[in-house]
Amino acid sequence: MIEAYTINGAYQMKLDDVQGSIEVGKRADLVVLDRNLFEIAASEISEAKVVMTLFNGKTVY
Amino acid sequence: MPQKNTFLAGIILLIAACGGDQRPEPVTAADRVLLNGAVYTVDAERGWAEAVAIKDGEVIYVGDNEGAGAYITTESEIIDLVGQMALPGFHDSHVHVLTGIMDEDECDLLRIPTAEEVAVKLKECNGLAGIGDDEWIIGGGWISPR
Repeated sequence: MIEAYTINGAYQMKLDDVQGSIEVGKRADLVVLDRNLFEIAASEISEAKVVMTLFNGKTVY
Repeated sequence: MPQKNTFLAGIILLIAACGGDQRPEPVTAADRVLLNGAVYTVDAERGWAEAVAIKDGEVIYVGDNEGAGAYITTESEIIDLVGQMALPGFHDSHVHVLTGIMDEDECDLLRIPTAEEVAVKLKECNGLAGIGDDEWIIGGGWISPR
């Protein structure tokens, strides 16, 4: 599911060489959440809050 | 006075370099460094990481906190993720990218209220596209005013 919203979404835009994963050389586009999605129940995922969003390295949220 | 600031930063870096007995000079000075995170990289070869270093909007390091140290200077902004999860920026896959692009070349009938005006617009589209009588005009967006 996370892949669908990150690397595969980027692939659809033919941008998976510059976005979609956190790798050296790619754009610094990141989302920080208040909880680890792998440590909570699936039913709790919708309650996760975005703490910070980085776009091209700059904090936009 | 950005030039003066750059000059001052240069002097500070020089002094730091002359110190000598400190840790080695940074490989590349990062603008921002995220530490102490649960970074889900979506990089199949890496999986999880603790730290990310950023310069000029680009990721220049992914790995553990210790390794990130090589990118930190006095100019770097440190962001402590306090164990929170970080992941790649999201892409909404359901945004009709291709149809959005194709729409640009189609006959746009949005907000054209009457049949007469639609007919005029269709003739325009026909002329613009330079297509013959036996060919299709592709378009849409017309909404019935009633």
